[in-house]
Amino acid sequence: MFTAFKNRKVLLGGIIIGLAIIFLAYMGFQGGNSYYFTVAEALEQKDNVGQSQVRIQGEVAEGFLSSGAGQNLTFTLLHIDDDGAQSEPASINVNYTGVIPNNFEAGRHVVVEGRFADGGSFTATKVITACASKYESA
Amino acid sequence: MAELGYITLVLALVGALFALVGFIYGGREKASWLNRNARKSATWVFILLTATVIILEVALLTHHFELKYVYQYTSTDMSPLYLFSGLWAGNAGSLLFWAWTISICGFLLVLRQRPGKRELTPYTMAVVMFVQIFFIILVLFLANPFAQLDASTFPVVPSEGVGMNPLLENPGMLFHPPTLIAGWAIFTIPFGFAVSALINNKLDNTWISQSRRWAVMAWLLLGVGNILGAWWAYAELSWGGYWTWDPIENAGLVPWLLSTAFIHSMVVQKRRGGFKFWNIGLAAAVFITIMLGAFLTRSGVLQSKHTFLPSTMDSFFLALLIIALVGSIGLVIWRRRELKTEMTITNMVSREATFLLTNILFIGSAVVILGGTLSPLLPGSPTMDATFFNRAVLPIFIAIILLIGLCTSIGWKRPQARKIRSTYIISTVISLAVIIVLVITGLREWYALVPAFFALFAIITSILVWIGDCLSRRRALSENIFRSAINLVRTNRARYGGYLVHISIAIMAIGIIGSTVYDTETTAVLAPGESFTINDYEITYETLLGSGDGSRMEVWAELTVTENDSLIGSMKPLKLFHRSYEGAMSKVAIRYSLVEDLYISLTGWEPVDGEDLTKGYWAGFMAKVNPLISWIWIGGFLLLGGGLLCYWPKGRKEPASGSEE
Repeated sequence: MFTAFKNRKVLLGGIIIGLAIIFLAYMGFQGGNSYYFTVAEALEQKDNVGQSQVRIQGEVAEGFLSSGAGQNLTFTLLHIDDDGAQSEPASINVNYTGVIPNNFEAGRHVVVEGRFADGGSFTATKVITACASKYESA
Repeated sequence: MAELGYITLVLALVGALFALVGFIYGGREKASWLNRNARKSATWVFILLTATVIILEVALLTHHFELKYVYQYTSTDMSPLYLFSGLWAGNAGSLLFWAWTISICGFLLVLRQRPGKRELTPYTMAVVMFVQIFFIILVLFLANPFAQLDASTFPVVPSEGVGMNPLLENPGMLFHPPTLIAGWAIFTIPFGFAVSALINNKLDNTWISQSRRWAVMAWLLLGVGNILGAWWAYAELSWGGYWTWDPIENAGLVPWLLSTAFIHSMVVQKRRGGFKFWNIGLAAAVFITIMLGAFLTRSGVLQSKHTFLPSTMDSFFLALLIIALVGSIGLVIWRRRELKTEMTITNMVSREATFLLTNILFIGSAVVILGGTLSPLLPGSPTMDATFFNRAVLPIFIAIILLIGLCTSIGWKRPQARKIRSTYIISTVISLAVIIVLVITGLREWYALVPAFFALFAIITSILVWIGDCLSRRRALSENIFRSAINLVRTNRARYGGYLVHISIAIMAIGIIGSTVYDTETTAVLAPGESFTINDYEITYETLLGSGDGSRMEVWAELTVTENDSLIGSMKPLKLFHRSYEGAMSKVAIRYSLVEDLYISLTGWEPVDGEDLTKGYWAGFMAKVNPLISWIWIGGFLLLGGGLLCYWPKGRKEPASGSEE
C-alpha cells in the first residue's frame, strides 16, 4: 500500500520526519499538560499539587463580588460532576485579578486556572467561561 | 405552517430512502431504469428540502413564535438579515441547513453527470443518500425546528421571542456557520466517490477527476469558515486573540488540514498515477473527522468555551462515524491489491517527493492536534493547553511554509536545476535583506525572524516563478507581457490559483507571527480625564455614557487617542445589556490598520463617589496592540480568491505554452 516508500531514501526521510513530529509532541507535552479537576477532586489533591498550576471546573455560586471597575473578582466555585450534576456540597473560594470575561455570571460553568494560596483559597490567573449555549439540547 | 414543514421533511425522507435503494440496486445490477428513477428521487429530495428551508425562513421572518425554534432564536427587534441567519443559529436549524446542502450537492451531481461517465455515480449517490437520510432523521426526530412550544408552559403564543444571543449578532454570524456547514456537507461527495471507486474496483483517475472540484470547494469553504471564525472571535469576544486551540476550533481545523493534504495528493494520482492509497485514506479521514467534530460539539465530552448541552444526538454521530470508519477500513483491506501503485519516487528533489512530504506534514499536524484534543478522553490523562499545541504544531506549520517556498519551483520527475537555483538565490537575497532591516530596527526574536524569513521566501519564490512563466510565455508566443500574464492564469487556473493560495498562507503566517510574538497588553482603571499609555498610544478617558431602552442598553466610554502626541481619533468600547441575556457583554473598539491594530475593551466601572453620581465613574480598560494582525484577514481574502481560481471550470483550451508543467 505504501509504495511511495519503496525507495530507501524516501523511507528514511519519512521516518526522520515522523520521529521529529513525535519529538515535538513530546516537548509540547512536557510544558503543555495540566490536569482538570472537579472541585471535590481539587480539594482532595490540594496537598499533593502544592504550588503547581491546576485547572478546576465548577459552577459560579450566587453572590460573586466584582470590584476594581471590572478587573477584580471574588467568587465561590461549586462542585459539579463531569455530567454537570451537583452531587457534592464541596466548594472553593476563588480570587481573580484581570479582565472579567464576557458572560461571567452566577450559575455558569467555568474553568479556573491558577494555584492554591496559603489560606486554602484559590488564586486564579485565568477564568474561562463557557460560551452562551449556541446549541440547545435535543 | 409547522405541519407543512413536517410534511415536506417526511416526504424528503421517503424520497431519500427510495433513492438509496434505487442507487444501490441500480448500481449493482446496472439497471438503468432504477438509476433513472433514483436520480428523479434525489431531485425530489432537493426540491422538498428547499421547500422546508423556505418554510422555516418564512416562519423566522414573520415571527411564528408558536414554534420553539423561532421563539428561542429570534425576536421582533432583530433586523431581517439576522432573522434570516436564524436558520443556522441553533442546532435544529443548522442540521436542516446541513441536510439541505447535501441535497443540493446530490442534485447537482445527478444533473451534471454526462452519459457514459456515470459508472461511479450510483454508489456515490448511495453514500450521499445514506448521509442525507441520517441528517433528515436527525432533523425530523431529534431536533425538529418545527416543534411547537410546550403548551403547558406557554398557554398562549408569546408575542415576543427570546432573541439571538447578542454575541451572535455580528456579521460573523451571517457567514461563519453556513460556510463551515456547507464545507462539511459538500465533502460528502468526495467521500462518496472514494467509496464508490472501492466498491466498483475502479481505482484509476476517474474518481479523482470527478471529485476534484467538489473537494476544492469543500476545502475552500472550510478554510474560509475557520478564518471567519477567528476574525469573529477577535472582533467580538474582547480578549484580543483569535485562536485558543479550543477543542471545537481544533475540530474545525483538523478536517481542513486533512483536506489540504487530499487536494495536493490528488494531483499526484492525476498526473503520475501514484498515491492511490493515500487519496482513498484521506477522503475517508476528512469525512470521519468532520463527523467527529459534529460528535464532539454535541456530546459535551470535552470542556470547551463553546458549550453545547449534551444531547442524545451524539450517539447518532458516533454511530455514523463508526460506520464510516469500519466501512472504509474494510473496503480498503478488500481492495488492498488494487490500491498498489506503479509510481516510485526516484529523485528526492522532485515534485513527487515534495507532495509526499506535504502529505506527511499535514497528516502529522492533524494527528498531533487530534491527539492533543482527545487526550482527556483517556481515563487519567491530562488536558493539553495552548502551550502543547504551540510547541508541537507550530514547528510543523513553519516547515510547511518553508516547503511552499522550496517546492513551488520544483518540477515533476527530474527538475531543471539551473532555473531552480537562480530563483532560490534571488528569493533568499530579498528575504534576507528584509530580515536584516528588521534586525537593525531592533527585533531580535529568532523564533519570529526565522519563520518570517521562510514566509517571505515563499511569497517571493511564488511571485518569481509566476514572472518567469510569464516571460517564457511571452518569448514563445511573442505576446504583450500583460496579456501573457493574464492568459497564463487563464490557461492553467489550478496552478496559478494554487500559487495565490500559497502566497495567502505565507501572508497569514506573517500576520500570525507579528500578532502573537509582538503583541502588548495593558490594563488600567481611570477616573474621568485621566489617561494611560500603550506603546506609542496615549488613551484619555473622557467620560462614561449610556443609552438604551427596555430590551437593550449600552454603556460606553468616550476615549481620545493620540499617537506620538498627534490626535488620531476617538474610540468607544462599550458594554451591552440585553434582556435575553444575564450580565453584560463587552463590545471592543478596534482601530484597524495594516501595521498594527489598537484594541480596547471596557472591563467595568464604579462610581467615584457612591453618594454623588455627578462626579462620574471610574472605568477599567484592557488595551492591546496587535502588530500585523490585519494581514491574517487580508490573507483570508487572497485564499478565497486563489481557491475560487482553482475551482473555476476550465474555459476553452488554448495552445499550450512552453511553460506548462
